[in-house]
Parts: sequence; C-alpha cells; structure tokens
Amino acid sequence: MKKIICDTGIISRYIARDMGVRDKQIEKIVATIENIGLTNIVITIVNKIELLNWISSNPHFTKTERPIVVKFIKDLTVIHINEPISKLTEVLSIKNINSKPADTFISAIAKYHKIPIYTLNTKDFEILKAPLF
Amino acid sequence: MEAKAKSLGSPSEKKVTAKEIEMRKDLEKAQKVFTNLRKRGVEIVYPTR
Repeated sequence: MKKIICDTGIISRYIARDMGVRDKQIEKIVATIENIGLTNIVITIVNKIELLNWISSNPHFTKTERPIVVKFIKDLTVIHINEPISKLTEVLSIKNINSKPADTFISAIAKYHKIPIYTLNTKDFEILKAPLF
Repeated sequence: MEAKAKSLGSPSEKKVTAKEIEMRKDLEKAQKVFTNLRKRGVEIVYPTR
C-alpha cells in the first residue's frame, strides 16, 4: 500500500471519534484508515501544526491527558517542506489567488512527492489540482 | 488449524510491525482521553479545515 497524506480533519476525527455514537462519516474514515494501514498514513508539517494547535486550544485536558494525545500525533510520519516545495507553493498561490495558505502548502507537498491526499475538503484541493485519494 | 496456518505465515496473514503496535497502543490511549473528556461533559469540536 502506498503512503497517503491524511488531512487534519481526517486525523482529528480518527483520534477523537465518539465510540458510543454511530456516525457514518466517521465509520467511513476509520474503515479507510484501517485499509490504508496506520503506518502508511502520513501528515504534512502543516497538518501537524494544525493538530497540535487543536490539542493546545482545548482547555479541558488535564496535565497528564494532553501529552497522551500529542504522543500519538508525534507517532505519525511527517513530510516537511523543502525549497522546491516552497517554490511550488508560491506558483500555486499565484495561479490560485484565493487559495488558503494551508491548503496551498499541503497541495504543493502532495504534488511534489506524488502522494494523494485523503481529505474531507476535496473542493479546495481540486481547485489547486492536488492529487486526491 | 488457524494458529498453525498463522505460524507458517499464510498469505492472508497481515504483517504487523513494531511501529504499528506502538501506534495502536498510543492511539488507544489517546482515544481513552477523548472518551473521558466526553464523560466530563466536554463537547469535542473538530478542526474546521
């Protein structure tokens, strides 16, 4: 199985899903990730920052709880940004003047490495012609 | 019989790596944290993007 970039919305729902409630969207995410394989899912540095911000912005975690969630996020393989990706991001942002910075960076990473993105936000990535899962 | 097939490495057997075992353990712990948050009445809001 090839590597797949999982977007922030996918990873957050996968970790924080409510075990007691049936939700078709989340069940689909869980089944898809299980099929891809935990070690085949990757995130971009943009997703990692978003996930860490999501955890740190929630004031309800205790001192011991927050590091437990952060540990799983740290387990995920991260794809970083290099100079060619930075330049590709610049090109994409010039071509798509209304694109959001995070989507543009993630799209450039996906295009550069030819890794598809698994996302709930297909519309914005389609505009950027990013490879989708 | 099933155990024997596994010990012989049947083609359907999925190879589980040490990395995956560690990730599963950490995932379960993280999921328990969110379950406990919900038990305390906290509504989990997912990232918007």
